[in-house]
Amino acid sequence: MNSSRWNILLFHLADVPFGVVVAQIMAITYPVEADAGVEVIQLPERLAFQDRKVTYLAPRIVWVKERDVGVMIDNPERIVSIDPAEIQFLADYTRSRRFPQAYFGVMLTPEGEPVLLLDLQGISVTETETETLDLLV
Amino acid sequence: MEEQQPIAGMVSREQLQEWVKQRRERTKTVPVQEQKVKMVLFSLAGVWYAFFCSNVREILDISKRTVIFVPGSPHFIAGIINVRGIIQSIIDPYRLLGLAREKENTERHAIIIHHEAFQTGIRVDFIEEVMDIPQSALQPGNEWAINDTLRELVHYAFTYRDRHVAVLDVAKMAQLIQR
Repeated sequence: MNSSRWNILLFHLADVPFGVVVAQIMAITYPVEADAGVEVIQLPERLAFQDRKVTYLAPRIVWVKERDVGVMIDNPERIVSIDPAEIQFLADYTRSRRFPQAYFGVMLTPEGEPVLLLDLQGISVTETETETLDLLV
Repeated sequence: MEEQQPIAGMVSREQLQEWVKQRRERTKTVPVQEQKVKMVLFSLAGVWYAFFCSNVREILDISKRTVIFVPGSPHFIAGIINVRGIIQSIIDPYRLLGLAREKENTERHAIIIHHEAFQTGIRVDFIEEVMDIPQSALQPGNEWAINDTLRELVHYAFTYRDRHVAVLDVAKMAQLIQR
């Protein structure tokens, strides 16, 4: 595998195609008990899915490197390798107001489907951290 | 018989014809080409709107494309689509303009509009027509606006086929979207 390429783990949640950079993942596990004493982020709580019903078919937790936090995803489908130069930016006005660092871009699958690339570090920051980051921009 | 002498200073038949010809040329009515502007007319919930073609990059049939919803984005963002390998954001005009939707999923086209560096797609129900209209037909149109958002965005209005058409100002729309 060419080291200049990035591996992206693809999954869908509420019919929305998402991707996460494998290099940001420490581990993938089955869901843990709610009282396990670890923080697991639910994407619908961070990112408004508006009136879409969110259900999990095969929930998994991706544990974020360098952070004691996991993100609940659904049914990991496949890993694709992409050239980072192929990543396109989302228009600024489409960004989440609460978590503007949630996505770092969009990629197209070989089939041409746009995939929202989640920044696991960005989605796992607290809102206080988000406000601080906004002030630094 | 007395011979006819030319009268001094008398105008000859040729000179008279030339004078008449010149006079006619001067008084001839020349039709003035009225300034026209090209418009894209579209409808939302049965009401007609228009963009100046100078603000339109292309019109897409999105009836067979999937608009990917972007969780967390502002409520007026319908999603993103792949346009020949380029990701294009799509706006839901009903939510942006505060309009009541008559039916779900009637929006089959997207008009890609631009102003300076700003570009986005606006999902519309139907493309009614692409046409030239005389500049003089454009009237200030914001008194036709049915809410404050439209009052801010309606640039001009005109009547076409007994229908009122509101012309939306793309520059102001870009400001509203990026606010």
